[in-house]
Amino acid sequence: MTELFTWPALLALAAGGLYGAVFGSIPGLTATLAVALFIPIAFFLDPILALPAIISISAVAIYAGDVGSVIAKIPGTPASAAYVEELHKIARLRGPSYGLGISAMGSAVGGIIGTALLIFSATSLAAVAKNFSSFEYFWIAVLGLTAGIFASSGSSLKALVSLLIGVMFSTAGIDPTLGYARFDFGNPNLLGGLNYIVAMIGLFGFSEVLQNVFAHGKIDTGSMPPSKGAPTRQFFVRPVLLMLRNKMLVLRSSLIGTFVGFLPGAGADIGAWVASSFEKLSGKRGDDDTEEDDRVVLAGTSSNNAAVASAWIPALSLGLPGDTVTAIVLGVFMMKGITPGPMLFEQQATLVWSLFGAFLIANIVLLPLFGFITARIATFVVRIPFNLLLGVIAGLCVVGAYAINNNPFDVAVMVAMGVFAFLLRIGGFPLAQVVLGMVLGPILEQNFMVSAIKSRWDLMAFFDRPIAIGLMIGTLVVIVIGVRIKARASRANAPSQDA
Amino acid sequence: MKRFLLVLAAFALATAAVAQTYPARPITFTVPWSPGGGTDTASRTLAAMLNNQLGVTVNVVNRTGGGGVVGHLALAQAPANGYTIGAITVEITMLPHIGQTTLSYEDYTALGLMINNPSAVTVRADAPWETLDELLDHIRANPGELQASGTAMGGIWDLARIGMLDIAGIDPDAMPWVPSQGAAPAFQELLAGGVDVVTAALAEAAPLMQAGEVRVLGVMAPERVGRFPDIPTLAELGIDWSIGGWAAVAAPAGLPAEVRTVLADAIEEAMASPEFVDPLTQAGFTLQPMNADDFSVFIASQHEVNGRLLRLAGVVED
Repeated sequence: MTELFTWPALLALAAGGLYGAVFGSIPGLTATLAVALFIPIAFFLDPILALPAIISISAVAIYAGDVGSVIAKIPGTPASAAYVEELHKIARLRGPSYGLGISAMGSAVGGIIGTALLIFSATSLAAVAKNFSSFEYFWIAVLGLTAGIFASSGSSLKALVSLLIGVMFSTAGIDPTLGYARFDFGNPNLLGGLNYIVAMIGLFGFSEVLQNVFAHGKIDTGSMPPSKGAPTRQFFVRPVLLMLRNKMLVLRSSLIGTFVGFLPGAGADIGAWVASSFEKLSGKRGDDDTEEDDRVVLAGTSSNNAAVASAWIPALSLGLPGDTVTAIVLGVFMMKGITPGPMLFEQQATLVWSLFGAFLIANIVLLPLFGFITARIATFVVRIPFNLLLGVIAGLCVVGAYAINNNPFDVAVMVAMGVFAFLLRIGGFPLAQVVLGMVLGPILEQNFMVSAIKSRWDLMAFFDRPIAIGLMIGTLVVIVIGVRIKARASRANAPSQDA
Repeated sequence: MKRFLLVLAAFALATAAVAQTYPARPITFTVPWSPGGGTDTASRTLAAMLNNQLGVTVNVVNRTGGGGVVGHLALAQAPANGYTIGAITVEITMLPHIGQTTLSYEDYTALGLMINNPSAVTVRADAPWETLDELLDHIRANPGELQASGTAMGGIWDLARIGMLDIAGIDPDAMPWVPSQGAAPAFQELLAGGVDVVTAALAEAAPLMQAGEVRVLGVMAPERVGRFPDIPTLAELGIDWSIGGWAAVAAPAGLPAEVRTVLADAIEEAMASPEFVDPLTQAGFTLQPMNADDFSVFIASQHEVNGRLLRLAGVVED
């Protein structure tokens, strides 16, 4: 670990963090893209410099995805979409420093818990991940979708409709298993389907612009309140107090993030969804509870950063990439002649401990540091009246949508999604569920088809494996609890509406 | 008037000079797959070297989407003046047979082959088969019992399975295909016991092999792969079959001959230099550098072979 405490290594960590903060903040530029564009440089660096840089890039970029949510209600990364509404609301009510403080502090603690599990139980957790086949992934997708139905603050029926619209969008393009083109209307741009990051930018960002232009007066278009009190207190002290009041919540969310994150292919996006849905389900705790939104954000943000660390578990101990970032990391390993697997921890102990050290430094030092800097910048940006910011937001939407694939067609998709989302807002349908449907739809479909083909269409095979049954029961529990809580909430609301 | 003529003459001289000295302005290098993948990595390495050799900036632009169709189409439709070149991949010899695009290799001017990652026959480390012969005997004796995966139905690694079984004299249906969304999910299924064999790229199997999770029984390459000298080729095992996922450099069809010469020479020279070979080999790629002329022959034969395999796969009706 002493290798980390040299000037070049610390510089690599800090530069990686800064680069990640910029990429995460801009909608359309993802953590994956940031790491991918870093590869040509990583080729020429010593792995002791390159790998810590990749760690700080991804850790800070996932946090910085929340900056867009605070300023313009556009999540910078899909992992931030789960709690964008709540985070934006908090920033409007109590200032951006506090909102980003919850994000950064929650991310740091989640990242540390994820790293701790990576350090102490990588090999045994990898053995669990090895048992996940398409049947288990199918049930995880079902569980995620079910949680999404009840996670909306409004009507569950409307949430279900939004979710199904998202799943329907995800069926466009080449069918993932048999290779037939669906809903492509003869346009090659549609063969690959609708990109959910492009859709997300349109759904959240562009529809916000439309809402403010056409539904003027209905919502607050003024600037956000300047942060009350000293910024350090807003950013560091109050979020830490919040976490101390909700210790179990932070622990639980980080564990959820870790467990979803180490499953190859699931990753930070689904981790954030499951954890924040869990919090939304538990809802208000009594009448004087004003921290419901704060808890949802805390849950989502700590789980997605826990997942960033745990995605390295299958990569380090099995050689199996958990997401695109770790696929790139395995490429760097190959290039430098480092062998992944259980023996890595003995043969390359120095390297492994530098990786763990890099995770800890990224989470303990870099996240709060860059978090504070971005929060200070955000405080100045949000002083600009919101209606003046709208032009910038519209421009960012266009640039972000174009940046994903360098394809002008995506800009059209983004605008169409924005118009569609504007209509959904008028009807009171939640938007986040559309993104969830688009993310989980393909996972559901692929794993259903793969399972069915594998078992030669014996559908009872879905109920054969113990972990699969466990996930199925989990889904049923979510449905029962969700229906009961929704029923109680509507009973509680009914008399107050009469009064 | 005299001054005007002078300016005109200077301008004419300047344009003539530009025509003679291709390239005179930055070149765009399109890549039909996302940043971070094999095609992208090889393209960026090559582009950096062309930068120095040609003396102009070579910008890499990823045009992703549509299962590669969008990027391939963008290159084919670009003006054939040498200022747009790009990567094309094995998919361009497969997609036209399936009818997903009217594009084919004839829409491009071939400039050179960069990488060709061979398929590997991979089984779990605790599987009972120690050699490829034992595996093939098991498939012969128990048709339909074992299942293989690696990519979508009719994808390149599915064709690797079909070609291997066909040349070994086994009906491809004796080991049916379970589609997957790429190599990593297929290996996840292999480890979880969902499928028995994966025929994806050796480069993708290598980290798992080194971690002791899987065993590679043979590689579908013309000769043994330098980094893994212990893995036999299928030809050595009596099955004359090789297949790989390749990435090449091309320009739109109808490129002027003198521009083609400049580019082809620069690319051939770049691909022979250690700055190109070393980092890519170390990153696990199998290089098969081929100059423009050899690659033109290769891509035409790939078009034929892959068409025949797709018909065998039942993806294409006769």
